[in-house]
Amino acid sequence: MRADMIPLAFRDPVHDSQSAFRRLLRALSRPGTPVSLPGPAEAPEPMGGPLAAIALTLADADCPIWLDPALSTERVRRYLHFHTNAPQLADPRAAAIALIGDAGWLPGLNGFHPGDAPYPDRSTTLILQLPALTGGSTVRLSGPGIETTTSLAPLGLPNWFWPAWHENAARYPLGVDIFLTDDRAVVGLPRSTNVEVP
Amino acid sequence: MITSIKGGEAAIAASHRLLAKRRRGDPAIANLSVGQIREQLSLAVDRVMSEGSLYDPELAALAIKQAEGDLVEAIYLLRAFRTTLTRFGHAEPIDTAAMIVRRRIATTHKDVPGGQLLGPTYDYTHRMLDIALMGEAGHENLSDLTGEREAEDELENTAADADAVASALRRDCGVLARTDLVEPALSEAHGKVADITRAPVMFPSRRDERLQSLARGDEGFLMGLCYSTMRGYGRSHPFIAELRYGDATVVLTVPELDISVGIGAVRLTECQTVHLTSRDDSVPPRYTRGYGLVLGHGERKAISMAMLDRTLRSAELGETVAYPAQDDEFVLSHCDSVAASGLVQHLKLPHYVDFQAELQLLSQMRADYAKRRAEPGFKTADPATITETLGGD
Amino acid sequence: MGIDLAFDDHGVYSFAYLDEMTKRMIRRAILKAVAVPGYQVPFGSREMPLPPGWGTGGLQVTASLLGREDMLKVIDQGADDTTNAISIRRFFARVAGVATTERTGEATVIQTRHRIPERALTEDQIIVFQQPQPEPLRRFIPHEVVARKLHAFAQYGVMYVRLYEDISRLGHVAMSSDYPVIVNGRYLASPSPIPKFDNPKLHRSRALALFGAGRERRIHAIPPFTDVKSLDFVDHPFTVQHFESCCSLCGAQDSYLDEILLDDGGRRAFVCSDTAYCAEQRGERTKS
Repeated sequence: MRADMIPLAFRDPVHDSQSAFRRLLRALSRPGTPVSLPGPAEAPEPMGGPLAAIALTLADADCPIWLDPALSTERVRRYLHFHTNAPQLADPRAAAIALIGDAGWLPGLNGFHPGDAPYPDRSTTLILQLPALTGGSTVRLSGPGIETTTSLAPLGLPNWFWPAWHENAARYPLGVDIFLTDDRAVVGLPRSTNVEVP
Repeated sequence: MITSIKGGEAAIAASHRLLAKRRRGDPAIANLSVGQIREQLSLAVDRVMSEGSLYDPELAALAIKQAEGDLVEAIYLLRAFRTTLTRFGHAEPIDTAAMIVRRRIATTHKDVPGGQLLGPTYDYTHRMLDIALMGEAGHENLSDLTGEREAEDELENTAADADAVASALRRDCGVLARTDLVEPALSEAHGKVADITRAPVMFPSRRDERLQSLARGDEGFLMGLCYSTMRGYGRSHPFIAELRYGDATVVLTVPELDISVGIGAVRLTECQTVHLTSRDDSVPPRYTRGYGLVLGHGERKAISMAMLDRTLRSAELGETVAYPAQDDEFVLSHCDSVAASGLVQHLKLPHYVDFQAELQLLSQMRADYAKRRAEPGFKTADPATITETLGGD
Repeated sequence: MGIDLAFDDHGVYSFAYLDEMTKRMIRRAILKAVAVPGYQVPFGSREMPLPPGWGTGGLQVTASLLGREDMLKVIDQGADDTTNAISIRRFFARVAGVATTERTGEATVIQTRHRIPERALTEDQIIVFQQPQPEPLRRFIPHEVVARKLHAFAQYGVMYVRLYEDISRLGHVAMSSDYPVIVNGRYLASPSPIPKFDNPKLHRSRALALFGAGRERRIHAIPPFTDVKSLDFVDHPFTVQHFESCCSLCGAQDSYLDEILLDDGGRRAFVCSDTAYCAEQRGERTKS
């Protein structure tokens, strides 16, 4: 493959994105439970399959996106522009979706839009790619979508993350929603989820 | 023995066949062609294109045929088709100053720059049935006039139209050019234009959202509201500063190629009204504007739209919002014929589950009533306090 | 519906009717709705080949969900065989080629108008409600701007006042269907015009519930295992309808019953509104 060629997206855009959406819906309706999410055949580094699948499924000309420094490569930008036509913004607060390749770059969650009191849906959704969804320190989740409690141990979250999430949940119904991904699955973390750090 | 009622599938199929039969009517009478509708029922076609918000005379004529002449149904057919179309770009704002004008009047002055052009109108016809049309029409030789519909997509031909003038009309002429008396038109560079077909209108609404909603709104509903403002629910009597009907070019800019191309012409009716406004103390008394624009020839609708555009600016202009026609939520939420017709007619759907629930509520209320009545010292309730129960939808 | 469009021509119409950009917009709205249970997310509702008020909201939500592997069930008034249910089921069979069923247990997506099936739903199912009016406050507050403010600050006193007026005048709340609920302890929401008999089924249900209001352009959701509380007062707890009779066909005593008029002399009988449940109770094999 030539270096300047844009890798292919979904083989079957209609059905692959339908399937990906149902997996995202399942992940967000069952917070903390990993759902496998096959990606497109290829995606430019450092985009993992699930992160690419989410961008291809949700982003378009009506859905501005923001890329963190890790994803701000020419190849990723061209790939997303070609396949989604989503406006790529410099201001994370103005983006509907923020794609984050390396959570270590992030100063916190306050740079994103939490929505407005009459319109809490006008918030940013974060897609946060991690080395793995298991193997980190364990937290306990509860809230809508969770029968009693469930535990989650993602690897590679910065230290500020869970305290920041606690603040995020405390301003409910405002707040951001997050999808955590690794190289094969996605975990939903809607703002309605409460987290206990043991 | 009770059996649940089945057979809905067969009933629907049979109903569709009955429709097809009625649509065709007496087979001894010639089948109506879509072309005949397009050419000879052009005002119906125009209304369907305008409220269906899709400029396609052929499909609008098809919709009218399919709906047996029910225009609201035809509008809905066209909308349901339109919504599936892929958007490949956004046209530039239409320049109505460059319109090939077929009719143009200004009522504020006897004569205005550019002149008055009566054009085709029923305004000064005598509404007497023309028995001659019962026979094969077309006795009169009209070949000296270029056809109303012919020049549709051949822009180069229009210059030769005997009934059209490509005069150098400006957007604002006549009284509208009196910048000392009339508020300036808003500049075109006003941020991103809303698209009500893709994002819902949020209240308080913006003017672009209102104009789009009104352009698709039901003619009868808008006209009735407009009438109400003239009769006593709005104290409004504006002047029509400019009413034009003619052809305008649609221009598309292709960003990749950085060129602008004319992709065709649409026939439009544009109306601008002026309204004496003195309530806002921050500026001297002046005329404020109302604007109406519809696809095809629809003057009744364009005038209603312009007047409602102005009444819906009441809040912006510091006027008290007291009448239905000034209330954007009231007007915009109820002016769409597809939505209104859908909800009104959904009452034909089965509601037996809710009815059952309400019957139970009724029997409980009746039992309570009987109990209260039996109590000593019972007094009949004031009828005003009897509330409507809150049933289903 | 008198419409005959060439759905099989995929050059003209997309899978499940809606174009992909519209589906994406609706999918984004659905995800927001799930993240904020009970909050009504505005969305750019499209014209559909069925009229607004006849289930276009549910139709658009279902069209955005459906895939080739789905098994769709459509009910109206609890029944699979009402004309509107048939019409919608046929629409999806035609535009998405999706398999359909009448059996509640088999379905992956259930679109409904006015009922929740009697049989408990599972976590592998999504129930889509057709909703004519998603705003429970609209009955007293016609203005969206005002209602939205009340939602923003969770000021639902006006609703309680209204219910309490009923209680003080009538001794009970005069609402038998579309009985308002508080979702996840925060948003006042409409459960759609289901009889209040069905309200308890929404509370901590295992299935995701999505509500689509096409004409009003709103989507809201109740995720699985979410608290759904029907409004009431300590001294006047919420109650559901109870039937004196049982189903004349299957004998069920726990289901919502439809009244059947046997003659004009007032003879009546009752049958299950949920036709699939009734058939199941009778051990009948229903159509797949």
